[in-house]
Amino acid sequence: MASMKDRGQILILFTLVVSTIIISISVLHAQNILAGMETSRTMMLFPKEEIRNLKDLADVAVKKMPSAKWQEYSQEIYDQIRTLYSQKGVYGDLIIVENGNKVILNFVSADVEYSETIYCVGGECK
Amino acid sequence: MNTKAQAFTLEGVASALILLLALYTLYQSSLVISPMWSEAVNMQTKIKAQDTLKILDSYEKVDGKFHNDSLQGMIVNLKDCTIGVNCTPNTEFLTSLSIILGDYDYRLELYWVNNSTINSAALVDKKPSPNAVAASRYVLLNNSELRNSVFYRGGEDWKPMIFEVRLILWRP
Repeated sequence: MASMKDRGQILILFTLVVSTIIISISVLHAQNILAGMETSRTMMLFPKEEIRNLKDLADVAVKKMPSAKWQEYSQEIYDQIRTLYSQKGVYGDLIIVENGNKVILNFVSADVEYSETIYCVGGECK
Repeated sequence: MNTKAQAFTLEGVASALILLLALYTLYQSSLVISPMWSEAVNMQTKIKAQDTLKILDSYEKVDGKFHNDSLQGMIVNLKDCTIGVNCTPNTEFLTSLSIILGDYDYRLELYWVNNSTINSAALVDKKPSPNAVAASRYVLLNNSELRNSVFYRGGEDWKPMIFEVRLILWRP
């Protein structure tokens, strides 16, 4: 049977073990919360709506575009979008090429660079 | 015996202190005080603004006209006024906007490009609070669709005009 001195030492030892476990679990818990908040914050800051808006504009532009003046139309759209996006400190443009069969979409911000080519057939873009 | 008892007591106290420290750390770590808390509220307001503009963005036409409460209908119905001075959105648009936004207060601005310069007009001119957030939606209309509005440029009906509708939202 352990003596008094041994009992005291065993007591401290197991207290240390239990408190180490409690501290580890609490740190893990805190990290979980922080990770969840960072992830949701990153998702909310991502310019999803700006890029989607550009894609919607591409679809509308191709539908409204006059086939006889598609180059001037494309140039107008390109200039206006670039100017409007630039006042928010980002770069965005839409380039309509091949008589409206192809639309190149670009979006560049401090954190994101996005470029996509959209193919349009019969006025419908995908 | 006395010495042993004292040592045992001391060891008991030490272990209790270690356990207390561990519990303190546990409670402290579950309260994450961070400046990101306020950002979460701002992000929710921003999402509300973005969703509102998306709901109102509709190119659908009935009898050749946009819905009056859509962004397109609102822009097209800006007529018989001086832009930047006394132009306000039509009643149906303002009613729909109020229904969607509920308790939020808002300011509505319009931006467009004219000869490579950006023009702007405040359509609903309220002063935002310091914690207001803004969201934008871009709308494309041809000159022919703007025939009766203040934005119509005589001559080439095919010319496109892109408008940025900016909604600034805050809780009063």
